[in-house]
Amino acid sequence: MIIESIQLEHVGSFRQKATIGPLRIGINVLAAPNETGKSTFLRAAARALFDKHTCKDAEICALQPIGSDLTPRITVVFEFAGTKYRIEKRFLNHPSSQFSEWRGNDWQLMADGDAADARVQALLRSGVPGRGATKAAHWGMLGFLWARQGETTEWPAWDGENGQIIKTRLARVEIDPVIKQLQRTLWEKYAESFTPTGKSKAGGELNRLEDELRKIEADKKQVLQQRSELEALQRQFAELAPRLESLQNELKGREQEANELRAQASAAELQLAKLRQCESELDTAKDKLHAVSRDLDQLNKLTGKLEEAKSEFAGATDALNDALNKEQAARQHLAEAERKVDAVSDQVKTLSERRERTNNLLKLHESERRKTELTKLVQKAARQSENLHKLRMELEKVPKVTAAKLKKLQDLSANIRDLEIKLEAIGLTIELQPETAARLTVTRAGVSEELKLSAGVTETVHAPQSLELLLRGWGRLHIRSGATELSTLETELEKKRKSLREQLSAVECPSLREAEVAVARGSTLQKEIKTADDRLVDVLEDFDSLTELQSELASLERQAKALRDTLAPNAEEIGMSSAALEANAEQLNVAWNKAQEAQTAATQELKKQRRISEDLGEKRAQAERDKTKHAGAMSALEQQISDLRMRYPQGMDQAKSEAQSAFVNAEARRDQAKKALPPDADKLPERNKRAAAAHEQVRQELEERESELHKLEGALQTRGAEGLYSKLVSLEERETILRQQIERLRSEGWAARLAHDLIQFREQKATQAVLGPLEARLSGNFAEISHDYERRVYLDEQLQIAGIGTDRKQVIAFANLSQGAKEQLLLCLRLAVASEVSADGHKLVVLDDVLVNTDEQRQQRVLDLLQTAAEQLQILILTCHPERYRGVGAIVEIQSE
Amino acid sequence: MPWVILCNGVVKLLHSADWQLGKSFKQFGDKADELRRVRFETLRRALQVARDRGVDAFVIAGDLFEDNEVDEATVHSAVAVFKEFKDVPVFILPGNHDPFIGPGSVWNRPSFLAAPANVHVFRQPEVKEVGGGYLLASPLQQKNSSIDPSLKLSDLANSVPADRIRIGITHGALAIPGKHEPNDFPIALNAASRAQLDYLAVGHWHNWLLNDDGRLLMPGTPEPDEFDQAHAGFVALIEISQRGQSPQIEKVHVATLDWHTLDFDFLNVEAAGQQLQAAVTNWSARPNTTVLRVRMHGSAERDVLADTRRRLDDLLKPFPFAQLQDDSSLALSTAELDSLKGQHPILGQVLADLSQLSALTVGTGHDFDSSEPLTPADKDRLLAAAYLDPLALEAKHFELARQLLLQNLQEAQ
Repeated sequence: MIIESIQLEHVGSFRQKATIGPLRIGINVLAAPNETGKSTFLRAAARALFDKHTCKDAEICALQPIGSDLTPRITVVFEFAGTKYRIEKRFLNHPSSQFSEWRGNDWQLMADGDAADARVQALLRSGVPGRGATKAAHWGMLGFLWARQGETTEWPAWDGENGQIIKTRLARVEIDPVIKQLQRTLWEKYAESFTPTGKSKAGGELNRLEDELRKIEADKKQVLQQRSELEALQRQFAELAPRLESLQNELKGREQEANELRAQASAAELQLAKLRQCESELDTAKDKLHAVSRDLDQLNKLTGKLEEAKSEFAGATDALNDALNKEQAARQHLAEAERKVDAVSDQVKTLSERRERTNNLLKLHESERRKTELTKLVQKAARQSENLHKLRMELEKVPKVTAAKLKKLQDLSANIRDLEIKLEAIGLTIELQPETAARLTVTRAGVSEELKLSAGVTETVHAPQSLELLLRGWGRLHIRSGATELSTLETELEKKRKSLREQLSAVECPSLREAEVAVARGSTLQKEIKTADDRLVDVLEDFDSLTELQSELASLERQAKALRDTLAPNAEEIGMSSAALEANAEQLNVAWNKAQEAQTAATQELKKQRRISEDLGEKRAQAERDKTKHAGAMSALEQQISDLRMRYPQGMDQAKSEAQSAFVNAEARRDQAKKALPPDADKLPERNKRAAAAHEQVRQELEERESELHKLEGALQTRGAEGLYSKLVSLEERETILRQQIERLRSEGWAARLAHDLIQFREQKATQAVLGPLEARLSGNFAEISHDYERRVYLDEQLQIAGIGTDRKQVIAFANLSQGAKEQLLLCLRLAVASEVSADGHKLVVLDDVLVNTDEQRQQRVLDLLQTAAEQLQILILTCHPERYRGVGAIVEIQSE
Repeated sequence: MPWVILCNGVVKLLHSADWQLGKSFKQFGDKADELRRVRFETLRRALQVARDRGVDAFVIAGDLFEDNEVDEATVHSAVAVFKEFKDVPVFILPGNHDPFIGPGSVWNRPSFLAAPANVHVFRQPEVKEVGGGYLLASPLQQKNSSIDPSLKLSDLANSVPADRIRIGITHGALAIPGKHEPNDFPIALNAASRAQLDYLAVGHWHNWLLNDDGRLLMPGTPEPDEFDQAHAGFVALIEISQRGQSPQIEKVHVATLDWHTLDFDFLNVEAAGQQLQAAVTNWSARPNTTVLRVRMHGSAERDVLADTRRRLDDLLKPFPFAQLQDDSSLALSTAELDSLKGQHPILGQVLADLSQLSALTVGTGHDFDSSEPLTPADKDRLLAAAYLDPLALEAKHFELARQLLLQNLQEAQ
C-alpha cells in the first residue's frame, strides 16, 4: 500500500479541514513542531483504514477535538497493487463509510457502510477484534511497518497470517498450501474440542460430555454411598440377630436367680425384724436405769446449791442499807450548790444590761459627729459638680470639629486658593493706569463693582474669563478670554468650593475661621473639664460619686434616729461627753468580768455535787437488785427439789433397783434372737437388689436391641426398595457411553494436535535452517549504521532479535541494548520486512519520531540506508527535528483551510 | 397347597437359574432397557413351556434378580409374569446375586410378600412336598461364602421319607479345581450323590453343565447376556419316575435373542462382504431379536474404507442391537506414499516423527527412517507445547494421527 493523501476534519487539533499529500514512493518527511498533529494524521488514517465506522470506543472518541462533540471525518487516498482507492469515514455522529476506486478519471463508489469497511480489511488483510477498536496487531502489514511514536523499540509478535507470511518470506521458506491447509484442518479438528492450552473447550461437545460425565460420577458416587450405607445397615442387622438371642437367654437366667434371692431375703428380713425388737427393748431398759441414776445425782446437787443461795441473800440485804444512808447525805450538798449559782447569775445579768446601754450611747455620739462631717463634704462636692456640669454644657455647644477634620478643611481651602490663583493666572488680568483720576465699573460674572482709579496708579483687575469695564465718558469695554482650560478650572474650583461648603455645614461652622475657633475652644474646654473633674475626685475622697456620699449621709441619719428612739436617753446622758461614757463603759466591763468568773466557779461546783449524788443513787439501786436476785434463786432451787422427789412416789432407791433388774432380762432376750439369724443375712438384701438390677439391665438392653432391630428392619425395608442397583446400572450404562464418546473426541483431538504440531515443528526447523542468511543481512545493515563490523545480529528460533554480539552464545540480549541500538536494529528489521512484502503491494513504512536516541554520526548512516530502501518503498518520516532530514526526500506540509 | 399334584411318585419339573432380571448392559447404550425387557419375554416363554408340559414345579435355582436392590418396576414385572401363570407352581431359591438377607432383601418387598399363591420363595432351608417327591432347598443368605451350600441338603434329606423322590436345589460354583474361587459357594462335584438326592438343581454359571453322573445340572442362563455364550439360552425339563432312577433331562431352548459376532477383514474384502451379506440376510427375518457385532479389521484404501463403512451402516440399520467395532485403518501403497512425500516433502519427516514419538512415548510404533530424528528432549518439548500428558497417550493416538494426516492429505489432493 502507498498512501497518497490523508485529509482530516474535526480531528484532534484540526477543527477545520487539514490535508497532507501528495505522498509518493521514496522518502516523505513531515517535519513540524511538537503538538502540531503529525502523528494525528497517521493515527486517524489507521482508524479510517482498519476500524469499523460504527465503532464508538475510547480510541475513536479520542479523535474528537478536546471538549467538542464534532464529528471526525477522515479521508485516505491510497494505492494498492497498482489501483488507487479512497476510503472516507465519519465516526460517532451519523457514522458512515464509503469505499471508492479511481476508474477512468473519476472516483467510483464501490461500497459503503459495513461493506466498505470489509473491502478495505480484505484488501489490506487486516484483522477485526472481537469487539471494540482495533489495535496494531489487527493492522496487517502496517502493524509491523509502522514504528509508532514512543514505541520505536517495540516489535509485535509474529502472530497471525501477516506475521507468518513475513516470517516465511524472511526465512525464504516456501509455503506448501496443501500442508498449510492440512494444518488448518487439523487445528480445526483439534479446536472443535480443545482450547489452545489443551483444556476442553467451553460450549464444545467434549466439554458438554465431560460435564455430563462429572455429574454422572457424582450421582454414581452418591448411589454407591447409599448402597454402602445400606450394606452397613445389613451388616448391623446380621450382627444384631444373634445378639438378641443371646440377650434373651441371659434374661431367662437372670430372672430365675432373682427369684431365688428374693425368697431368701424375705426370710432373713423377718428374723431381723425380731432381733431389732429385742434390741429396742434392751435399749429402753438401759435408758430407764440411766435416768434413775441421773435423778439421784441431781437431787444431791440441788440441795447443796440451796444452802449457798441463802447465805448470799443475807449479804445483799446489808449492802442495801449502807447505800441508802450515803445517798441521803449527798442530796443535801447538792441543794446548797444550786442556791449559790442562782445568786451569782443575777449579778451577771444586771452588769450586762448596764454595759450594753453605755456602748449604745457611745454609738449615738459617734453617729452625730460623723453626720456633721459628711454634710460639709456633700456641700463642697455639690458645688464642684455644678461647675463641672457647666463646662460640659458649654463644650456641647462648641461645633464638633476634630483636628484632623480641621486640617482637611484647611487643605481644601488652600486648594481653592490655589485654583483661584491659577484661574486668575489663566483668566484675564487687566492693569489700569489712568492718566487722570477716573471711576470705573467692573462687572465680573454678573457682579458689578465700582472702582476709583487714581492718576498714575496702576490698578489690576482680574477675571476668569470675561469682564466688562464701563469707563465714564468713554463707554463700555467687554473683554473675553479664549483660554480653554478655564472651564475645567472653574468647574473644579466650583466643585471644591461646594465641597468646602458641605463639609463646613457638616461640622456646623459657617466658615473655616469659625471652625478653627471651634477647635481651639473645644481644646480649652476639655482642659478645664479635666481640672474640675480632678478637684471633684479629691473632694469625694473615698466615695466614688456625690450620690454615694449623699447616700452614706442618709444612712447615718437613719442610724442615729434609731438609736435615739431605742435608748431614749435622759438629759444627763445626752449631756455626757464621749470620754465620760467611755470611762463608764470601762468600769462596767471590769465588774462584769469578775461576776462572770464567780458564776463559772459556782456552776462547776454544782455539777460536781450532782455527779456524786447520781453515783450514790446508782449504787443503791444495784444493791436492791442484788437482794431481789438472791431471793429468786433460793425459791427456784426449793421448787426443783420438790419436783424431783414427786417423780418417784415409791422412793428413788427403790426405783433404781427395779430398773437394774429389767435391763438384765432384756439383754438375755436379744442374745437369743441373734443366734437365730441365717449366715450372711446382712448381705442378702444387697444381693437381691443387685440381681434385680442385673435383670432389669438385661431386659432394658434387650428392649433397646429389639427396638434397634425394628428400626433397622424398617430402614432396610424402605431403603432396600429404593432400587439403588437399578439406578446404578442406569448411571453406569450412561457413563460407559459418555466415556466412549469422550475417548473418541479426545483421541481425535489429540491425534490432530500431534499431527499439527509436528508439522509446525518441522516447518520451524526448516525456518531455522535459513536463519543464517537473514542474520547476515541484518548484521550487514546494522554494521552500516554502527560501523562495527565485528558484531553480528542474532535471531532466535521465533525469528525475534535475540541480541548482538561476536558469538551466538555470548550476545547482549536485545532487552539490554541501549535505546539507540534497539531503534536502529528494529529499523533494519522493518526495512528487511518491507523489502520482502513490497512485492505484495505493502510498500509503506512509517517512522514516527524514530531515532531520537541516535547520535548525529549514526543518523547520517541511517539516512543512507533509508535512501537505498526508498527506491522501492514509501517511507514516511514524522519528525520535530527538520534539521536532521534536510535534503532528504520530499517535504510534506500540513495544509489547513 | 393348590399346586401339589398327587401322582405315583413321578416328579416333573422345569429347572432354570440365573435369569439376572435387571442386569446391566453397558455396551448397548440406550438399547439396554430393551435387552432387559426381553428377558421377561423369555421368562414367559419358559413358563409357557412349563404349562404346556404340565410340570410339578418351575424351579429357579438362584439369581432370579441381578441384585437385591433392583427397582420396584423389575420386581413388580417379575411377579406379574408369575401371576399370568397361576397354574404353574413356581419355586424360587435366593442366589448369590439376590440372597435372602432379611428385611432389605428383594424377597421381603411387598410384591413378594403378597406374591400369588403359586409362588414360593425359599427364604430358609426347608423341604416342600411336590408331585411324587420333595424339594429340599438350601438358599443363600449372603453374597459369598467358602461353605458348600449343598451340605445343608444332607440334613434336610434326613427329614423326608427315604422312599420318596428327593430333589435338591441350591446355588454356587462347582468345585472344579482351578475353575472356581474359594469363597464362591463351592459345591462338591458329588453333592447330589453325597446327599442321596435323585437330582440336584443348581444355578450360578451361565453355560449348560452336567455333572455327578447326570444328577447335578447347571442349566446356564436362559437368556444369553453377552457374545460368545454358546451354551446358554436353555432351561432343563427334568423327569424322575421313581426314587433312585436317573433323571431324564431335556434341553429346551427358550432364549429370545440370538447373539452373533462377525469379523470383516479387509484382507479379502469381497469374501468378507459376501459372508456378511449372507449372514445378515439370514438374520434379516428377526432383526429385533438378533444381537449383532461386526468387527472390522485390516487396512484398505480410502475409497474402499469409505464404501465399506457405508455398506455396513446400511446393512446394520435394521438391527437395533447392532454394534460396529471399527479397527480398520487407511492403507497407502508404497507408490502412493512416495508420491505424497514427493509432493509434500515435510510429510515424510512428519510421519517418521510420529512413529518415533510413539516409540519414545509408549514404546511402540511403525518403523521409521528419519534424516533428523527426534530427541527425547524434542519429545518432551513437543508434548508440553501441545499440552499432552505423555502418560495419557497410547499407541492408538499416534496411529490415529497418522491416519488423519494421510486421509486429509488424500482428500486435499
